[in-house]
Amino acid sequence: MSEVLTLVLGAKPGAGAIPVAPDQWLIAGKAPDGTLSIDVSDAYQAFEVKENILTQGIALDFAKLPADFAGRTRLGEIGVLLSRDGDTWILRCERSYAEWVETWLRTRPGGI
Amino acid sequence: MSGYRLKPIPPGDDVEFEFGGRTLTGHRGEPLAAALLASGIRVVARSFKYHRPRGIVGYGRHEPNAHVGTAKGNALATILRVEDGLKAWPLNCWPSVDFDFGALADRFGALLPAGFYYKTFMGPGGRFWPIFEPMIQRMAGIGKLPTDPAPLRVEKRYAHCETLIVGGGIAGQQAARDAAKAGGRVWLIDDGDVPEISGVTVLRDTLVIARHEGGLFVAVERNPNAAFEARTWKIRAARAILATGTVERPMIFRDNDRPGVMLLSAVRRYARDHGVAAGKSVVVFTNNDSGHRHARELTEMGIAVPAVIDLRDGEAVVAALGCPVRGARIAKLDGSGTRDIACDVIAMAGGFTPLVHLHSHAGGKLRYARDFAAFLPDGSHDGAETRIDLPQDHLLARWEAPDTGGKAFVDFGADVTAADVRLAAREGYDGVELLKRYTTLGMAPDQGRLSNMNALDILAREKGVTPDLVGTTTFRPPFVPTEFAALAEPTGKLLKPSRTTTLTAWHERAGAVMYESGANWRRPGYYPQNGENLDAACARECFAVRNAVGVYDSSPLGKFEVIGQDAGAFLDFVYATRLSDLAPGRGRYALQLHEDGRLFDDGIVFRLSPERYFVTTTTGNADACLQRFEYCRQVLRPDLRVHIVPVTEQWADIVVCGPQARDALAKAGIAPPRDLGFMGMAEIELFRRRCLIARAGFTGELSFEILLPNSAAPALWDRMIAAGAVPVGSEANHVLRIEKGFISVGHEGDGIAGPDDLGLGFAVHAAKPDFVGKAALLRDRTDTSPRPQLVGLLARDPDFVLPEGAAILRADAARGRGYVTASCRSGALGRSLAMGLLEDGRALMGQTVSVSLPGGDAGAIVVKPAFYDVSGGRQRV
Repeated sequence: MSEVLTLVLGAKPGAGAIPVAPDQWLIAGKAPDGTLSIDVSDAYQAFEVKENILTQGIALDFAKLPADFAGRTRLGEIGVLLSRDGDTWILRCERSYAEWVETWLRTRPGGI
Repeated sequence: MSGYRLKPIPPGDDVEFEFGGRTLTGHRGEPLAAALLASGIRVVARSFKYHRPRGIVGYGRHEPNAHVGTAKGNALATILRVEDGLKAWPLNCWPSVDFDFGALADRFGALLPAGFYYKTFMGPGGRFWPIFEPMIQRMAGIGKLPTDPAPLRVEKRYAHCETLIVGGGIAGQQAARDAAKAGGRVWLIDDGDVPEISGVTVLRDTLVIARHEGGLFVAVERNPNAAFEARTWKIRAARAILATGTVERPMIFRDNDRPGVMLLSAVRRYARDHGVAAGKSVVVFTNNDSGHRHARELTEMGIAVPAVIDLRDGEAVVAALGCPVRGARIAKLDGSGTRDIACDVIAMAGGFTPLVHLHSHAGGKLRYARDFAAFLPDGSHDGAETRIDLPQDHLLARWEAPDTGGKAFVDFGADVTAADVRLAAREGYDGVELLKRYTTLGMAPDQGRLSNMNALDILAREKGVTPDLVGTTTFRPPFVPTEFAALAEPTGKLLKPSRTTTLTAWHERAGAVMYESGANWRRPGYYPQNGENLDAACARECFAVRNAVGVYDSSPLGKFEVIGQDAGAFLDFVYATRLSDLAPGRGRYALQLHEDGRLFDDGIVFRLSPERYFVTTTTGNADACLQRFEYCRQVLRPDLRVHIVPVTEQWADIVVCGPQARDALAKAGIAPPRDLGFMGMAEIELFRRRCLIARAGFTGELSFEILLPNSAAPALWDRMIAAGAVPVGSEANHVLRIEKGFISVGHEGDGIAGPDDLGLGFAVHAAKPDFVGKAALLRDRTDTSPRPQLVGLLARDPDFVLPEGAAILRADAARGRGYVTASCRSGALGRSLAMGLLEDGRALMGQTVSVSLPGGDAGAIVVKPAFYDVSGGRQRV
């Protein structure tokens, strides 16, 4: 899926922002007014994934994650961003790894 | 016929299977070993080194001999289940298990002592090992790789629990019930079948193969569902109970490896659990109460036990008679009173060895328990508690019968005899780890589970100490041999992550030869046309850049935005080059140094506006640069107000280079600002997106670097190709930069060369108050010892390309004084070129050095490291 993504520099811009560095937050959508931010819409590829698929490659204890979890973790050998949207999870990888992640998802039964 | 069924197979449960070409009948679901025993098949394999006929010894995971081949690879006959259409065959034998050429090794066994390979093939000079190794491999190798290209289908899964219980025996089940009452997620794992327990997640047919620090367990589950043949679990447990049980200890006597010599516990399991008698008449050889107890059980099940020979009574089985076994020779410990008893099974009962592997995997210590002659966990370790109950069986700590000649085996799997262990000890290999490596003891697939304790006992006696002073070898994962497919991603594309640009699909369509390059990127090496080879394609691509126009996908380049009011001060600190005085719209070649003053990375830093910089780094170091930037920002200079944003993934980078670059851009509808000079950068709008265009590149030609959001890159690339630009790969890039004498961090930045050594002193602004590496750099200047310096090299033979990495010898020195860092055939200069790092190289201009090569040294003349357009005029036009 393609989307508008903005990296906000400085303080957390609000709920749902994914921390990617101590001073950096990734949000879906355009930059909120009055923030220092840059467009990173082309830097990530997003996938909607079910938890049952994620537990095949991500070591997090999903049962213990908060309902609004959003953060960086690892899928197999690569770093990814993970955030919760109701019952589904949004997995975002750096664009250069999208082909690898897509292959990984396709080879899990029910993955894509 | 020897073994038989105590009761017939229920109708409908009988299945036909094939073993070594023979069609046999078994009970559906029983281990192949049970079916072979019941069918009277006694020889199932040949041993590893001596190719002696071997039968089934143990039960389940602890079988040392009965490895069989299947279409899916090797398997243990004691694990493999009988099912319709099962086909298996014996290993380590040619032409057949009953007649095997390799068995000659047994006849000449005296010529194959411990350390045989070292003594025979690996002497000084080592000329013979390469000749003999493949032959030995073929003789000894356990089976063949499966030819089936379809790998084992394995699912991988992570899981978490509060309590993990390994082992579903009585102790494990009780622990699970207790843990379930206490609450939290409780998992119970067993490699066989376990009943349901309320509140417990039970994994059956699953083996825990490893325990790592922090409560991480790795387990492999067999046949978890229809889609997969195995499932590998990585389970993080807050607390664990290891109820892994024991394995019975064998006895040591002449020919104790003959088919028919088994562990008593195995004979009992086959009878009790599968209704299979391993033989008609079982002689038990023991040193403790368990031998008698279990012998009675056999008798109760209807199996004849003519004698229980107990070492405690001063008697021993001194030899197995026949092959397969048809009798046991009994004697008093002083050798008197010899008598023979007819039997077809000799059952060994030497006490029980606790399976402490998981405790030890993660570093748990062991203590020696004299009563049981066993090593036990010394308390719990890292949240894991071992629960193994050992019966009080009044064991006599002796396992060896009096020596009556022949071979008495300690390790069946690795074919190591008691005499081998003694020989190793006498030759000085008397530490456990040395013994293991010298004799290969414990290196067979069963990892010495049956043999280690007996070997330690012999070693301790040779040294005149107790076994606790000898210690054990290190227990390492996996607990059992495990298929690679269960541990790694099996298919090509997933084996290692590889990164693509938005132009990779174009490169592949154009037939580019793709290279694996730095930081996981898959990049075009060259684009062969009409059957061109590498040299021809590379020469054509170079010619285009020097004479017309080329286009290069530089998207993997490391890219950062450095933003904030202290951005300039921050970059001045991280880079050796001054960057705070750059004018907006200008760029500068800049160096990062290691703390020790050596070159770490280079790149061009542009200033977009007073508080905004666009930084490029090398591709391979992009991640390392981010770590370093953030370390400097967060730890060393938290006073500076700056953000560092990695944007490698946001921006594609297309380099249009060559004397006709401007025309090609015009044809593609792109007009760079008129005043954009060399090393300048400006914003332009392309495809309604904000883009950046810079006058920079690595080729020394007029060069435009266009940075644009990734999704817009394919459209621009297509336009440049349509405008006549020739796609250029990394091979041509390499040649073009050598022609210019430009360094590449991956070639010349070897961790020893500093900026001055590489001729890059101009980029170090030592007047700055501080920067990473400055202190070391200043200290270097007081050091007068010779430094490696970057030089150009012209081979005496202009057609000869010096190999990269070859040592350079100075005429006056016998030893290496430097090496070739980069080398190529240059079309522009019509000859080979090279660069190298040479001690005091700048003082040697014009002199001849020799480059050391296997086939004879090659002469080369030392020149300045710049060959083409030395004044640099072409890139500034």
